[in-house]
Amino acid sequence: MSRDEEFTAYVRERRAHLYRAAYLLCGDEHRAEDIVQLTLSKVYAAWRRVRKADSVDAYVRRVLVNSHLDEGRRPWRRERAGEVADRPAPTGLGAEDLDELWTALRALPAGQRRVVVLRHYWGLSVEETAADLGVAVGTVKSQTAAALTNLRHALRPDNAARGGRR
Amino acid sequence: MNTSEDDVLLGDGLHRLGATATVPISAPTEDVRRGRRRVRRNRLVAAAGTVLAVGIIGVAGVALRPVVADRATDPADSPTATSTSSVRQAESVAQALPNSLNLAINLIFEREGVMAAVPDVVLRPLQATTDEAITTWSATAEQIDAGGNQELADRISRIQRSLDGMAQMRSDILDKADPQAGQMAYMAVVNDLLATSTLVPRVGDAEIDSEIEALGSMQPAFDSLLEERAVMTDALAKHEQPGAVQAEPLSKEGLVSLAAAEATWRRSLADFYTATSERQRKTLDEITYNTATDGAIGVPAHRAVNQILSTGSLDRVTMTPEEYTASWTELIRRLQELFVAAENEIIDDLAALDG
Repeated sequence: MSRDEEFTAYVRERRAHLYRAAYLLCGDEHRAEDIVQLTLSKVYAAWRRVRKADSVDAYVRRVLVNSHLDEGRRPWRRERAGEVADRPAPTGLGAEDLDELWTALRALPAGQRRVVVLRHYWGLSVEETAADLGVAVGTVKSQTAAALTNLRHALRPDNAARGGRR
Repeated sequence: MNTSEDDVLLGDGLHRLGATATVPISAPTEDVRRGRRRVRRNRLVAAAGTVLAVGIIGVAGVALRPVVADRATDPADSPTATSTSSVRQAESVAQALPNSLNLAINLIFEREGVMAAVPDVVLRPLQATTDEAITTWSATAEQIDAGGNQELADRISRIQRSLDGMAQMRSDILDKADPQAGQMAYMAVVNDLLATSTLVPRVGDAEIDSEIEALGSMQPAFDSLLEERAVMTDALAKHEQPGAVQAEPLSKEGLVSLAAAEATWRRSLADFYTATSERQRKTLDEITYNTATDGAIGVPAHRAVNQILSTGSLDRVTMTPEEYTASWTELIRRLQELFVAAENEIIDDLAALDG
C-alpha cells in the first residue's frame, strides 16, 4: 500500500474516535474539528515515522494532545476555567447525569481535564499519561487527585442542583 | 461509592459524552490534501530558517510564529537536515530503480534461458518481455536528474548504449563457438542496472539514507546467486548421473567459487537486513523462513549449497537440478518483489520529505 492509501485507511477507521477525544479535551465541536485536522495533517507529514512506531494510535494520540496544547496557547483560543460551551443535549438514560458531568468537566482547568481524558477516556496508566504529556508521574497523580476531587464536589447532588446546568 | 466505582462511572460517562458529539462527515482525501499542504509548508519553514539565521528575524519571526509554536511541541515535526535539491534528485533516481530492477531480472532470465538452451518457443517470449522492459526503462531514464553527478550520468549513458546494442548481444550469446562474450555483456548491463541504486544521493535523513544504503546490497546478492547457480546446476547434473559413469560432481575450483559466492551472498543479505526498514526485514524473514542473517539456509536451494560447503561433497544432497532451479527461481522472484517494495518505500519517503 502507498503512503496515501495507508493514511487514508487509518483516517477512515480512527477519525471519529479522535474527534470525540478532541471534543472532550476542548469542549467545542468546531474546535475539536480544528484539532483533529491539525493532528491529521501533522500525522500525514510524519507518516513515514508514524507507521514505524510501536503503536500508531499512541503516536497519533500524543500528536492530538500536543495539538490541543498548541491550540490552547493561541491568544484568540485561550480557555478560561469554567468557561462553558454549548453542547447538544444528551438523550436517553442518564441524560441529566451526563449534563452535570459535562459541566463539571468543562469547569476543570485544562491541565486537569487533559489528565482525566487521557486516564479515563483513553484508559492510560499514570506512567503512560505522564509520558504523553511530558510531565512527571507525580504531576499526573496530583492533577488526577485534584480533578477527581473537583468532579466529586461538582457532582454532589446539592451542587449539581445549584449550578452549571443550562 | 468507592474510588474504583468512581473510575468506572467516570470512564463510562466520558465515553457517553464523547458519543454525543456529532462527528462531522469528512472525506479522508481532505485530510490527505491538508497533510500535503503541511509538508509543503514545513519545507518553506525550513528554507525560511536559513534566512532567519542571517538576520531577518524580526519580520519573518512574527509571520511564522504560529508555525513555530506548532513545531515546538510536535513529535511529528522534528526538523531534518535535508535540502530540496538533493531530495528531488534522489527522487528522480529512485523512481527509476523499480524499472531498472525489472529490466535486470528480465535480462537475467533471458540469459539463463539461452545458457540452458531453451527452445525458441520459450526464448522468444523472454526476449519480448525484455524488450518491453527496455522501452519502459528508457522512458524512465530520461526523467533522471543526474545533476552534477558525472558517475550517474555516465552509468545511464553506458546502460543505454548497451541496450541500443541488444541485437548484437543476443547474437553474441547464441554464438556456440564463443558464448562467453555475450554472457559477460549481459552481466555487465545487469550489474550496471542493479548498481544504479548506489548512486541515489543521500538526503540527510538517517532512516532514508539507511534504506538507500541497503539497496547497495542488491547487485552483489544477485551476482552471488548467479555464480552459485552456475556451479550448482553443473554439479547437481553430474551428481544425478548413474554411479558408474558419474564424473566428479564438483571440482576444487568449483567448491572455491561456491564458497566465495556464498560468503558474498551472506554478507550482502546481512547488510540489507541491517540497513533496510522494519517492514522489509519482516518480508525477508518470510522469504528466508527466518534465516536472513544465516545465509537464508531455510530456502531449499541455499540449504543444498550449505550442505555441500559443510561436507565438501554432494553426499548429503538429495535435491535434483530441477528442484534446485525451481527453488532458486522462486527466491529470485521473491527478492525482486522485496527490493521493488524497498525501492517504492524510499520513493514514498522521499516524496514525503519533498512534499
